[in-house]
Amino acid sequence: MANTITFTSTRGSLSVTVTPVPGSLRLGGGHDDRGGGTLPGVRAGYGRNGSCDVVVTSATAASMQQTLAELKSLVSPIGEGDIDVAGAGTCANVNAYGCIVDVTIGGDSVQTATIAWKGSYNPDAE
Amino acid sequence: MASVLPFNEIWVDGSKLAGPEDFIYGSGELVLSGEDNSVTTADAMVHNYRVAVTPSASCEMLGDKRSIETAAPGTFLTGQAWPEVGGVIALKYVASRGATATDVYTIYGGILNIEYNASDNRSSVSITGCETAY
Repeated sequence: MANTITFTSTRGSLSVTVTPVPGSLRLGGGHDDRGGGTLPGVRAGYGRNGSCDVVVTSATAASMQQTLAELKSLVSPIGEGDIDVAGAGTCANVNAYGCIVDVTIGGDSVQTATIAWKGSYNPDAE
Repeated sequence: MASVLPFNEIWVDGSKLAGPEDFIYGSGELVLSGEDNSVTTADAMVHNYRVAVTPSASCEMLGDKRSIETAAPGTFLTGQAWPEVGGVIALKYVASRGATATDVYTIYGGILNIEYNASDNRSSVSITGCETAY
């Protein structure tokens, strides 16, 4: 099974699958924590944030590379976060819903992009 | 084949201000993010919301490039500046020597800010603006 992460949204029929650079996956954070200090701490909201790096190509992706157009299409527009993120293979522990996605393109060797998402859990899960 | 820079040409309001000969290799970064807020409902669900898309970019250039930044006087050292609305800043990429540049991203109402550092003879360039034109 390919080691991929797929970004889907019903708005605009977004469906982009990327292959992260090995070892670049970061998961966790985004919780809404309150209280603390003189009050007991409480985790009011449970977030599922994450990020990964991909290699950018100037031509149509043939392997572990993503085009600039694909990456730009991932950036969330104005409005409520509506992108679902799901992984496969070694990325199967990626699972976030209602995400807002950012893309940062840089890199001092070949061109890479960092895709970061901030979302929450599956509201429909039992 | 992976390309090697996010962008290596900058155009402002249709005029080219800098090309690959000005850019420090590997210094460019294009950030496509936004101004975001979130609301947590009583079922522990965090609802993220994007108020605006706020693209920005940065890179390093060879030499003192302050004369191309926003609102710089035409006669740079002795002239006088005037307030200036941000222009349309087009970030482009030249894939090979002499090739025609292709569009990477366009920032509207963009401000080009440049700071020169004499210790390594390079200018730090930062670009901020809007996703859409007003």
